Amino acid sequence: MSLASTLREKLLSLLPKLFILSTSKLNDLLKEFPEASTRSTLLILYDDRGKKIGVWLGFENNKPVVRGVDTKNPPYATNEISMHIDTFLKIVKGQLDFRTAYLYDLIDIKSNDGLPETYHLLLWSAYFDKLVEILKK
Amino acid sequence: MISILVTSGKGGVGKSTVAANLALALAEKGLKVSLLDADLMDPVLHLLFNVNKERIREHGKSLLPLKVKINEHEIEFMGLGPFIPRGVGVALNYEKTTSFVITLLKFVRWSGDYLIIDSPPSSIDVNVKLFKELKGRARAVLVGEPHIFALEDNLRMLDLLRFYEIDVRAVVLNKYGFYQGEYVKYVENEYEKLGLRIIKIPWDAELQMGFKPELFKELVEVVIT
Repeated sequence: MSLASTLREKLLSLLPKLFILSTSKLNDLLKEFPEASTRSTLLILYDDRGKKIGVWLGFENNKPVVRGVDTKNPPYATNEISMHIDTFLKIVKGQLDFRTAYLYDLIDIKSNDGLPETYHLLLWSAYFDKLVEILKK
Repeated sequence: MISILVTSGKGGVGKSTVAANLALALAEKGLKVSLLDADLMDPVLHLLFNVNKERIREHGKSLLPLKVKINEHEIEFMGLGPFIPRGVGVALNYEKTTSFVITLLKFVRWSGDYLIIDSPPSSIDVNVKLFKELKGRARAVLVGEPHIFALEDNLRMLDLLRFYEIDVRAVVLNKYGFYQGEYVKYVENEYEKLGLRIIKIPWDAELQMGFKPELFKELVEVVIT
């Protein structure tokens, strides 16, 4: 198995949990974070070989959109979050707190809208808390 | 809003205690007070205010400060303490540290008459960033204990504060009476030679983890006039 496919395999292992996040739950999540509708994020996950996968999260026509993107030519997002796939998996599984990962220097955030990166971090922390809570159910 | 830095060249001298009590003493005077715990590596003010894990909230492009109540007085409060897990090591590099400082200083919807800033100890780069942001428009209180090491560290801090045109209103000699010896007088003389007003806060075990705003009335007058 190549390392590139390892990254895909790891992401696939996450799918059962993400399926739990039905549309209604996603809407509940977004109701709690109305400010999210004015923002977009480019989530970049990489593996040990530097292979990257990009996911764009945002809103289009007032509806939440999540889609895979080319990391070499990504669309604009108000902020970008990069982390190793293993870090992401640990966060989503509730094994690692999002803030702790940032404090351990495991996450990089880039701001594209003039706000400090840590401003985005603090908002995303609350979002990940809620996401993990929903996925645990 | 007038910013007041509570700072020190040395850690562990009671900077946070002074900041919290100064904030409460100002509030007791009827002033609206905001308090920022900018000691990012070792935040403790949330413990004094008994603030547990909180969710950050936003209004527009600003974060909303928390509201804490002490002795029936409400104070606006922000810092990293309530938002990061307890006991987790903080391994922030310079960029991340200064980004937090800017977020908490400029992107929080502060509304106090006074913003008390509990700054990190020592003349380190993050303090320089803070001083640059507040250059020419902030007042400061330098906190120390009456002993030689604190004096030496505070001389360096004072030099930076004055270079960045921060108006140093006083030096607080905290835990006064705890240390004995000729050097106590020597320390006081050294500060006096530098034109600093000395405010002595007596050693009081209860004060180290609590509030005694009556001990800070003189300091209040010095920072608001």
